Amino acid sequence: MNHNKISRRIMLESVSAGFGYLALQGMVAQATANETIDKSVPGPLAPKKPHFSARAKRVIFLCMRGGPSHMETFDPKPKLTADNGKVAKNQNSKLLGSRWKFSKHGQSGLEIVDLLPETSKHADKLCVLRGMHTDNENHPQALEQMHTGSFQFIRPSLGSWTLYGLGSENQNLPGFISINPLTSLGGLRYYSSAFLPAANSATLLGDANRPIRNPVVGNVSNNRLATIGQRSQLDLLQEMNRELLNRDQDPRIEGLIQSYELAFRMQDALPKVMDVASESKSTIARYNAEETFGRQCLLARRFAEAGVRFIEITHTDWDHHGFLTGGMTKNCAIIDKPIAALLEDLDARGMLQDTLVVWGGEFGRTPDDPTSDGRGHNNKGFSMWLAGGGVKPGMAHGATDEYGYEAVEGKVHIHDLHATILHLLGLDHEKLTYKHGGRDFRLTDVHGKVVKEILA
Amino acid sequence: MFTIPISVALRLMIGFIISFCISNAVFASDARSDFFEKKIRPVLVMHCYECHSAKSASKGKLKGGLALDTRKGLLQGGENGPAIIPGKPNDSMLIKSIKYSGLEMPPDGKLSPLVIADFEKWVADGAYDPREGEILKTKQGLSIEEGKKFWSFMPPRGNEIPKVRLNDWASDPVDFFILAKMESQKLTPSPKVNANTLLRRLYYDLTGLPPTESESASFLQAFSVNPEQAKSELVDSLLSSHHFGEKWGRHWLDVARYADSNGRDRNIYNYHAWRYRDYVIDSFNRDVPFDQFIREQIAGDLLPTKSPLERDRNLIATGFLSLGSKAFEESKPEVFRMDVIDEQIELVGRSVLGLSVGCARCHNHKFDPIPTSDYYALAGIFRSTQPLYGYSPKGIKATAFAHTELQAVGPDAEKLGPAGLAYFAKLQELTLAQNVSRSDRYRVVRRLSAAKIDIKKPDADKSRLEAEITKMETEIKDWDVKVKANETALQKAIDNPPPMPGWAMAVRDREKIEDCKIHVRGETTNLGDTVSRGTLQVVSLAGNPMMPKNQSGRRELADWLVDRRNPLTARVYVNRVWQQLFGRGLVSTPDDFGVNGARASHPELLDHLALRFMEQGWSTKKLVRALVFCSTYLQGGPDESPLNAKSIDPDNIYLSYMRPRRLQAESLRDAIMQVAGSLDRAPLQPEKAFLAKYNPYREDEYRTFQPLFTPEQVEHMHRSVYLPVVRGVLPEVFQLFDFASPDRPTSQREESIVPAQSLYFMNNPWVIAQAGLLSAHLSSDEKIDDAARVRTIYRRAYSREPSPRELSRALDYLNQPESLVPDPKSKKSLDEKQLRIERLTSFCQIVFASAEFRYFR
Repeated sequence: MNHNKISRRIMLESVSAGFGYLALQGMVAQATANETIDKSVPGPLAPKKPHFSARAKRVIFLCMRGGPSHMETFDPKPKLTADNGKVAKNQNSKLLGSRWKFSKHGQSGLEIVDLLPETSKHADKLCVLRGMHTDNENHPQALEQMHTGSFQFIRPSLGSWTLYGLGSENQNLPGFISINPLTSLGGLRYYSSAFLPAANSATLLGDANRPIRNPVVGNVSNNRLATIGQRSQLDLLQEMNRELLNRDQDPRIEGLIQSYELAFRMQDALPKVMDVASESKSTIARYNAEETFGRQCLLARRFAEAGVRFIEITHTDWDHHGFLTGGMTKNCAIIDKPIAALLEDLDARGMLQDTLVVWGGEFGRTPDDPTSDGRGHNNKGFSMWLAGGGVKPGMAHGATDEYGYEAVEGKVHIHDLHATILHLLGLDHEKLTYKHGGRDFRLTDVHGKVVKEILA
Repeated sequence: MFTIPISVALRLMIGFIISFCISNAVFASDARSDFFEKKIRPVLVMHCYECHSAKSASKGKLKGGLALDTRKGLLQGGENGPAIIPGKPNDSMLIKSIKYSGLEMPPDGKLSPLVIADFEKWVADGAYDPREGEILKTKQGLSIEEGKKFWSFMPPRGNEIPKVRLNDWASDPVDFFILAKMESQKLTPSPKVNANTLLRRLYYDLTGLPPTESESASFLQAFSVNPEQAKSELVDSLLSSHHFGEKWGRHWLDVARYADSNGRDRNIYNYHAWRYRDYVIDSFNRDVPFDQFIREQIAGDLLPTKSPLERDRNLIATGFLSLGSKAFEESKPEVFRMDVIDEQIELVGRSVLGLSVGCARCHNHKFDPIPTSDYYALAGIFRSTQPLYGYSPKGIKATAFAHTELQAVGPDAEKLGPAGLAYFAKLQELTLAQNVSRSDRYRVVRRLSAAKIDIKKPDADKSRLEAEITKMETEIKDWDVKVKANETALQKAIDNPPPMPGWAMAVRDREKIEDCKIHVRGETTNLGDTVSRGTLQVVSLAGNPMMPKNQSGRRELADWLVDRRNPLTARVYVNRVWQQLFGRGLVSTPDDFGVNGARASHPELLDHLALRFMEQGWSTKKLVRALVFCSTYLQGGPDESPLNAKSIDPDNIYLSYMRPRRLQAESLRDAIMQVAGSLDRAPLQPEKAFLAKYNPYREDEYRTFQPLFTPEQVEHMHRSVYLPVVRGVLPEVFQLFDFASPDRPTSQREESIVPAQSLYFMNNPWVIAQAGLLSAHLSSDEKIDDAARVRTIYRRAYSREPSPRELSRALDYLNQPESLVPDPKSKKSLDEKQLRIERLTSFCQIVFASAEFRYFR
């Protein structure tokens, strides 16, 4: 009897301090996965210490769905231009040189296509990976591998692994947000926590199929009750829930109580972060934030400032089998200013040093095509770039062959990129594991090498 | 360091072997030996032995289970199969690996092209290898002999009922097993559950619905007169209600990864899957013996039947094998086919045997006693089976190979079936023609646009380009005509369907019955030996079944699965039933009874239940009935448990109290609707189902890649089990509350607690609307006061009366000004009566959101 009273009292105290049995249980479970935890914050997304000292605290991933052409962006191919129109190794095709010039930029002299004048001003911040390659040349599979490392099985997303490894810096916001995500063609798998605890899955804002400027989170607003009315509603609810907790001492009920409080705070915090009214006119203009992609970049910055661990935004579509000229002109014009503004702002706020920005699509494109204004899929060689977060700035690493068919130097497989991103976040990709169905799983499976050459 | 002694040793050895050969043999072998010793062995020693030899194994450094220091080791290979296939360098893993295609060996740098060429020649010439030595015993999964001694592969044993100290508690043998374990942990059972809690528990467990107000009242009345009789009558009436099948059938649908769409990259609809769903619900309602249920699903098309109706049932049952998600994006027919087979093998393994057989596709199972050859023995059965799932994405040339027929069912099946199938084939053909002409036209459009850019260039050959442009413009006009004609033809066919029979997803035997070859590393281009069709060797039942020459062998497979001597099937199933009723399986990994799975908490009880289940004719209802009458089930909740229970047994493994269980997604939606008075408890008539209303050929998913409808559009007021399960587009309540992923067989759903669920209760318009319905209904009776309304809400939602304190608190809330401060954004002005309804709505919403509603005890 006595024993019970004491445990109940301790229990209640710990609950009122917001650090109860459930949190404790969660921590014990986490502690086995990750040695050290910050004990001041409860919940499944409590911040955790990385394996070693981190260079990046958060990631902004600019996902270019469709496979942007490397030959028209970050991988100049003069020989291809010179041999334009010649019969390609695929006999049905002709080599197709880029219609645009590349120029050297910044002190680094990094070569970037003239279609991206604003981004080019930040050339000295970029680390271009010209030797990217991946395993599959179909969109859904390649996108899935880019996000999860696997295209055969449902696996946790890079963002989920990041959140699982590091927890969240802001307990009032989701730790992994994907803005205008790809929801068709199996897209939801790109952002799922799969077998990792559900708290690590992405919160999705909007939908890439119907990209809207002001995406909303499901059920986050209530137009029936004002905050005070809702608080009094919640007060009664929580009182009832606490009675049940006191009776059953069931950790799940405590989880429920915490979850209602977090939801209540999120209702408040999320719209605030997403409300860009406080941004100056010039900022809106710099981001071109009246348009969807610009707004997404601005939101990404605001989420990063608010402590969201992994932010992904999507731009679609770069699948230029035809109409390459018009398509590239249009898409580059859409992404150029917003990305430049994002880099500029992160830098100005001193955040670029611990924010890793990643740009790229699921694969690149072929140097040849049966038509003279289009390109096919190419998973054997393409470009991505990283900026900030502990990567060497103003450089290009790796190369494709003289035409751009495949990576030949400084090859970086998507597994290697994942290993490198985790490394920059202070996580050892071989140690960040989760036991599921009897075996330990990793983001990189049995692959992945950290690309040491690009570490600052 | 090591290079010097090794090379010295090598020279000595080479010298020895050469002299040995000279004294011995014919010239040819001599030359081959020479080649091996000069070109091959030194490389193996230098670059491979460090990780692939007896010595490396002794240091625990053997990689991939592969030893390359004996001839036998090389031929047997490692986890990925044989290292070489003599005579076939292109099919040999070793050669592929040193060429860095696939594996990259040796890992520290590619060998020189000359050395690689030597190895290719050596393998092509038959891979002469004089090295003796036995195959290394490497640490792999259990061998078949070891496996037969593993607990789950041994037959269930009838165990003696254990002795217990507490002698008036147990009412069923089950209780003795539970109590004995409890006592061994110094635990004592909780007191008996009270009538209100029991009522809720039985309703939710047997039907997935809460009791209505009147159902509660009549049970409580009966219980006060004669508790035992009341309980017995209630259980019998719930078991015979059609809601039993809706609840228990759904568990099987989780295991069967049931879905109304394909999912993955081409999320086309399974327009006819619902027949299988209704078959499952109906089977549970009719209490079809579980062994028969499995036979029907694996081999229904091969079973003798007495009536056309039974024949249809059996055909529909085989939809089980056809419902899997398929990779229609796959361009290689053989890969596609083997992937479908793999999905079927994994399904049967997990759902019936509780084993992940699929792991053996590429290598011997890492843990369980399932060699790759067993996998391909099963693969032969499914390779001889034609899945009938209908058509692949409409009009895509690349996936035309994946088209299959459907199964005609219903009274007119024989008469109308052939014409219906011909009609579908015609539509398919016309769609394909339409789409091909569209893309041919588009290709010219693309070329034209490119030419128009080129012509503006200063160095352009204007006259040639102009001619080309004119030519292409004419071509496009021609195409316009062709496209239009194709479109018209298709539309005409769509508008004039012949009389149709019913359609079902199913399977049938292929015309060609064949055994399957081992696919080395699971690759379709890397074939090994042919394996005779068969079952798992580790479960050999006095000689495994002989596979017929003229049938796929599914019938024999089904017989083997449900043979009473099969040690897994009954155990796996009773464990699932137990898990549904007690929240945790006796084996806590219900889909994995293998080496990596959990051991049973009560192994003797599991065996007892398995044997009893089979003796009682594999009857689910009998099993469920027995379990809900056990003293174990009839205990109170955690608050009633003796003091030490939660500290000794936090996970409630020993069942000294009943742990509250969370309402699953379907029950949550159904319960909200029932309490709100909006639930239609009749089964959804198939013709009213959303998908049934759709003409599969009206919409072209190929062009849009978009789901045809949103989850809101498919909403109806019937039970949630009848909502379509569109992979990737699940109804919101399913997504949020851990509905089983239809991508793979699931026995145990997750139980996540995330803020999105809380937001759903706080703000979701549907939840608020349901609360509003309840509130409006209660308010419409002006003769009753708020206290009576609150009491009704408590009775409906919690199956109990509110305490005086709860009642006064609720009334305070209803009179408190802040309980309804309308959002200033909402411009509605409300009169006093509307305000009262709104306040009551807020209160109803609290009740839906409360832990007491979301969990039952």
